Amino acid sequence: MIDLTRTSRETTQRYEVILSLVFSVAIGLSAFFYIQYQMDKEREDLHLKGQSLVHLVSEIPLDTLVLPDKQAYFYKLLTEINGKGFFAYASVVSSNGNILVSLFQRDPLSTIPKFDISSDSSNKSIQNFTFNGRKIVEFQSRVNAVSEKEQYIRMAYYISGYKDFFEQRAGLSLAIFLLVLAPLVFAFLQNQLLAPFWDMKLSIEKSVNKSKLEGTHSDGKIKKFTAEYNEDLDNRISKIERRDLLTANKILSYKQLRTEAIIQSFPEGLLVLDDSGDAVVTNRALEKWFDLESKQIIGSKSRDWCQEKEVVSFLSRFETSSSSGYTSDTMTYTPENYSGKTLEVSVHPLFAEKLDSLAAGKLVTFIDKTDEEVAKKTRAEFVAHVSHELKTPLNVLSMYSEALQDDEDESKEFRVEAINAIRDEVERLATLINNLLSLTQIEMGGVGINRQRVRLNELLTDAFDNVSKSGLGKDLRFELDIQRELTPVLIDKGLFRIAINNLLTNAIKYNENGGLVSLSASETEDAIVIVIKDSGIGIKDDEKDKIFNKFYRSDEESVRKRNGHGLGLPLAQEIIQLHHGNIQVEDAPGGGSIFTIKILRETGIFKQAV
Amino acid sequence: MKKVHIVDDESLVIRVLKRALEKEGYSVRESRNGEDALNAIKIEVPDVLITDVQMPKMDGIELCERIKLEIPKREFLLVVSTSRPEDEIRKRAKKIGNIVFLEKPVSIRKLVGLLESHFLKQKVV
Repeated sequence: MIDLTRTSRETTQRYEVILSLVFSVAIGLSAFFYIQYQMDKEREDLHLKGQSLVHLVSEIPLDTLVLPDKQAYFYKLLTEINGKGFFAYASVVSSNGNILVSLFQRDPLSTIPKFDISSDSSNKSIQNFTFNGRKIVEFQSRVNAVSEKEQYIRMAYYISGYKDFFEQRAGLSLAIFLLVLAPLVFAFLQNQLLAPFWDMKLSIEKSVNKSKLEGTHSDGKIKKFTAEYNEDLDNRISKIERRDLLTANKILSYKQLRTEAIIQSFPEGLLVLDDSGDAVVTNRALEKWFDLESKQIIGSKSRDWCQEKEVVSFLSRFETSSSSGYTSDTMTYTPENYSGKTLEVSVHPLFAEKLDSLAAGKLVTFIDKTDEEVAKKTRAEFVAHVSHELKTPLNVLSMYSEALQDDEDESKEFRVEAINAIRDEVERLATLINNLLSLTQIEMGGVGINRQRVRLNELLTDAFDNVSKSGLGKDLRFELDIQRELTPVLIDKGLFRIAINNLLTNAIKYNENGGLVSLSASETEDAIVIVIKDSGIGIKDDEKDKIFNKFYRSDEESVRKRNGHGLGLPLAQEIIQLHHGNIQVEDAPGGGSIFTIKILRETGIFKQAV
Repeated sequence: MKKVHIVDDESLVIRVLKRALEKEGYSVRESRNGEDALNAIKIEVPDVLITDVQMPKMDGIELCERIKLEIPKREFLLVVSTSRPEDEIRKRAKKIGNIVFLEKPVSIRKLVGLLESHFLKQKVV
């Protein structure tokens, strides 16, 4: 049976060897041609230079050439052409070749080849000889002497061979040598490195094909290697699988913990019931509501742990796996232990997202709706108040105008009364609407505060003069006491004026005949202090906080007989607070009220912020 | 002469209403809040009580509830003048029974017409 694997391996190796040999030969030939080219070039160069030099030297008088002090110079000249090692000799000879003067000789013991120039019919000035066992090129030129005798200069140089070439260029030689050898070395190394893989492949294919090799060629080493490799592979796979499993477990565990954290941290009560109505999940908020621990709830039905009858009755409808148990519903109730609270209980069926036919129980949420209910109630009360406050003056306007319309023989007194009433009510309505708008805008954050640096002296004086001269408090005394220089503060002039106006108007309204209304302003390190005092009816202690509530008016007859909406003081407070200030009320000695406003200066604001 | 008792904390309302009703031949009494009104009508029972809702000390609906409780045999008409009869007020009024709502602004003509109609019915009955 032909072992194709083995054959393919040997073939591959053979090809590799041949290829590497071819490369080596190619590199070798390239190097040879390169060297040859360089050597030819050098020879040519030598010829050119030698001819020029010999002619040059032949022009120099002989007696100059032989001068001792010129010797070194000429020697240098002769040797520089091709390097000292290649200079052979230089001499002056007669026409028949007899040496007349030996100028320079590298090797004094060697005999210069004899050459009869006069008998040379070729008339060449270049001759090739052998000298000291090496080839030389000799350059000849007739000496340009005054003497009648023919004398010639003979200069000879060694011709460089391969040995000289390599000696002169050791680095290049080494590189060429290595380049020639490289393919062979590469092929050898590759063969060595791939040998085990070839053997392994052979072994694997043998076992896969179930073919019998004649005499096993795989030795213990390959078997051992394969076995170890397989074992190592198995171990690695197992490790990866274990790691994947561990990672998957960790991820699952993390997700579970995260879900658990979400449930426990949820601010509203959460409860999950299974199909039979038993609790399977609770959270801290729920446990707090019912003052129970998780273990008291988990695994039980609502009737077992919940004291609220309404809740038990509501949840019992969902303690079933019938279709009625898979609806959503909501109820609200007031917990027995928290009488001021409103709780909303909602039940939602839980379905698996990917398998929406699979029910996963019911989710019950307990949401505190108290704030919402209070807000709703407050809104409703606000609407009722506003409606009342708006319609009451309208009522008066309607009645009086109707009375004027219907009765033609009305007395003059009645007409005057009607006109005054109408006018007063219109003004009252206008004040109400303005106050309402300002208040609502401030609370909704829609008021664009236009702060400017304002000297409060002027604003306060102006406001005081307007009110005191308006005729509202005809029988009252007015006193103004403002510190001469007040540090300018950043306020919205329009809004601040409304606040001061409201306080002054109240001071007049709730005063008695002959009473006093005063306004004073001073400055401390951090704030501007404004005090509005009246000697009026005063405010009961239990009402001092309530007067700043919207629409609040005391039931006292002394208050009720005076018109008002209950918005002036709340609005004034909002405005002052908007300007980093506060307002307080206290009893005035001898009767009446003192309203003290403190507006922080910039230093005060900064201190407060710090 | 039929007796009308007006209950309202707005003095101008009382003034103009009183004038108009007296012109129509009614005898008019007034109170400024529910508490005073309840005490007054126990002494002198009116034929009609016209009351505002929002008042100090006792509001108009509470007055009506107290009347039902404390004057169970009352036969006089209760007229409640209100800005907007909210559900809560309607609920409470329904339990009292025999209450008429007049939405503000109240028209004197309407009120006078209402009283005339009421007394006419009474006469027929």
